[in-house]
Amino acid sequence: MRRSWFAGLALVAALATVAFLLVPVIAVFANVSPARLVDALGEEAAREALLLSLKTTLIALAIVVVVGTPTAYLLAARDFPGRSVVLTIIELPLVMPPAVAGIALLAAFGPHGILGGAVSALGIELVFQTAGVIVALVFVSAPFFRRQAIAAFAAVDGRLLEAARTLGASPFRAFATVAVPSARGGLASGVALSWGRALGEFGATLLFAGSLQGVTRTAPLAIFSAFAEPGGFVAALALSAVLILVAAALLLGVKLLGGDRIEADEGAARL
Amino acid sequence: MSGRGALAVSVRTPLRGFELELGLRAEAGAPVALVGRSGSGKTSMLRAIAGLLSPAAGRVELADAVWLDTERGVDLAPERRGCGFLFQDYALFPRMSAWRNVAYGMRRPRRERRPAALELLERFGVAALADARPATMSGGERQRVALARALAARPPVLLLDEPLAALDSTTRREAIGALRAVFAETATPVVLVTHSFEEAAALAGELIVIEAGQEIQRGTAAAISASPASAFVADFSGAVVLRGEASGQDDLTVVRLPGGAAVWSADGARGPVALSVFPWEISIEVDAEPARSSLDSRLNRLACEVTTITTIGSRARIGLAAPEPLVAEVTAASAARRPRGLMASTDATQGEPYRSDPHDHQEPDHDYHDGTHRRRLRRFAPPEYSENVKLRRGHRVDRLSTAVDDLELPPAVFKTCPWQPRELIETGLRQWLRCCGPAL
Repeated sequence: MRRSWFAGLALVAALATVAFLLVPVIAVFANVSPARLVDALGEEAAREALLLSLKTTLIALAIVVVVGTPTAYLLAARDFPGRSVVLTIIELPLVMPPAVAGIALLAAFGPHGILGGAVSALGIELVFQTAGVIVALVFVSAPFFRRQAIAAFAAVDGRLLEAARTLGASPFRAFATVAVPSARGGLASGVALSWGRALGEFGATLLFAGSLQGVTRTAPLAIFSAFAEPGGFVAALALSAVLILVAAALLLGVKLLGGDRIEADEGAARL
Repeated sequence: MSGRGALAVSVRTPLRGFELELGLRAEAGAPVALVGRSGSGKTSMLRAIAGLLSPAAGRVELADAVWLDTERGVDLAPERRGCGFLFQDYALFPRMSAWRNVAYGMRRPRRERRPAALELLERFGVAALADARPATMSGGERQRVALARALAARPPVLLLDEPLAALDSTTRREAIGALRAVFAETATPVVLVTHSFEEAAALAGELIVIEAGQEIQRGTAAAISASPASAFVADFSGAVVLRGEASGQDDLTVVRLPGGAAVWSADGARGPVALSVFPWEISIEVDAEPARSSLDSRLNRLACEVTTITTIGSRARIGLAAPEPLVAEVTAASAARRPRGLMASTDATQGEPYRSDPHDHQEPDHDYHDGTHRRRLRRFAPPEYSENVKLRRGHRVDRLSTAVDDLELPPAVFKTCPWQPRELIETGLRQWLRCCGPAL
């Protein structure tokens, strides 16, 4: 087989990419011994931050999925005037710098924001509260799910939904039993992207909810505050290592649940 | 959902590029077929009946139940109409096994569903696939599962969109038999859509030929074929379907028709079958001498009487009262002047590749309606015989035969050959007589 210079170049580029991505990850684990990792997790502040991250991201994710799925279904199925404007608004947080998102949330729901009075009149406190963290996470991470979900629903064969309707299914039953299972792969990758984005959220959370230990200091904020303290670099590294492991597990889990299952089905079809 | 009775539909709605304006009435046990090329609005009609499309104006009624009445603002959702709908590509739910697909529309306690689904699958001979996903099935298997699914909820109306299009020819034969059995058994109105006149004739009693959303002609397959309303219908309404009882005789199949006559086919078949033959494959001879038959390449000969003569442009359709109604197509000139020339003129219409498959029209619409475009494309051989006998209604045609003429041998060879070698007959006949499958 003859190799062209282009194939060689592509190979070099691919190797450089993998190395560039892998070296920092290796560096984190190279600097932290497993014993130190366990020690770091034993610290109250770190444990609190991780648990808070887990709690807030899961609640945010639940809101994103429950509200985002029907929204995406509607936007994928219906064509209406102004649809592209709505799609742009929905995707805007994707390109918005997190700090801007935080400021914007403050301007809207903060004590002096345009809806601040209404929010506190309802007895809801957001700023410097865990609820504020969840609001920031939902705002920033939801577009990752919606985007995937819209694409996944748009790819569902409309005839399947029509078949369900002629078989007596209500629009909701057709959605729940035919559209959602058909879009499962896309929905799962949307969940992974959205969750990953929420786990790493820093700027919007810091500006909108602050960094109070045990209340709003999620893992990324804890990493930063550890790093800012003298001699805290190792603690920051340990937390980082944990986050890398969690993120990798997340990605792997979703790949197993969503994408690869589809290929397995098709593989069975070929037999 | 037990509203058995007639389905009455009238629909008017704009589609892409034309207006669909169509009415039909389907009685239980008398399937109606909408026939036309793809994009002529057939499927939209089915969708309007099922409630998947809301027409601008129209009424859909089943017995006493009004499903759609645009004047009174009635438009029942598809799930409340509950039509059994067989989609063209079957639209089986890809992530459900066969039995779950079938059970989807069942309204019965959860634990009874699997046994009931298995029973239905068993009926269609695919019980072994109960736990298989649609992706692992063949086209014929998918169709049977889809049919079982459509029938599972005991629908008051059965709608079929191109039920045979996704099947290979062998499977298609079996499917025709299976579908006819279902139509007979369910006793519900059936409306089916197909681009194939042959399939429509095999499956339905009444055919409605539509073009660009408008009805061109309706009637039985034989009636439409015998006197097509336009050149388009003439091109389209190819096959005449005969039903009979097949039995084998060496490699050749003999099919006995109800009237007592028999025709031969090179396709192997046993039991009740449907045969199809295209009008331009039939040549007719008037008062031919019986002695000539042994010298002729044509194996199938039927004595019959001319009932109608319909001229469309340069062509004429001759309706024949054979044991089963038959139609021959000859040039108009032959029909008017030279009955002996009929044989030559039918030969002239044969062998055009686009003529031999009426499913595969490629020219634009406007060329069909006056027939001029066709006429130019057709090659006409000069009439071989010329006797001054006018062919007219009531005229007796002694023999009618399907020709074996694509062997690229000069006609003279056939005329002098004392007997045809079996092989030649078979290759010729395979072209001209096709068994559609068990007719039941």
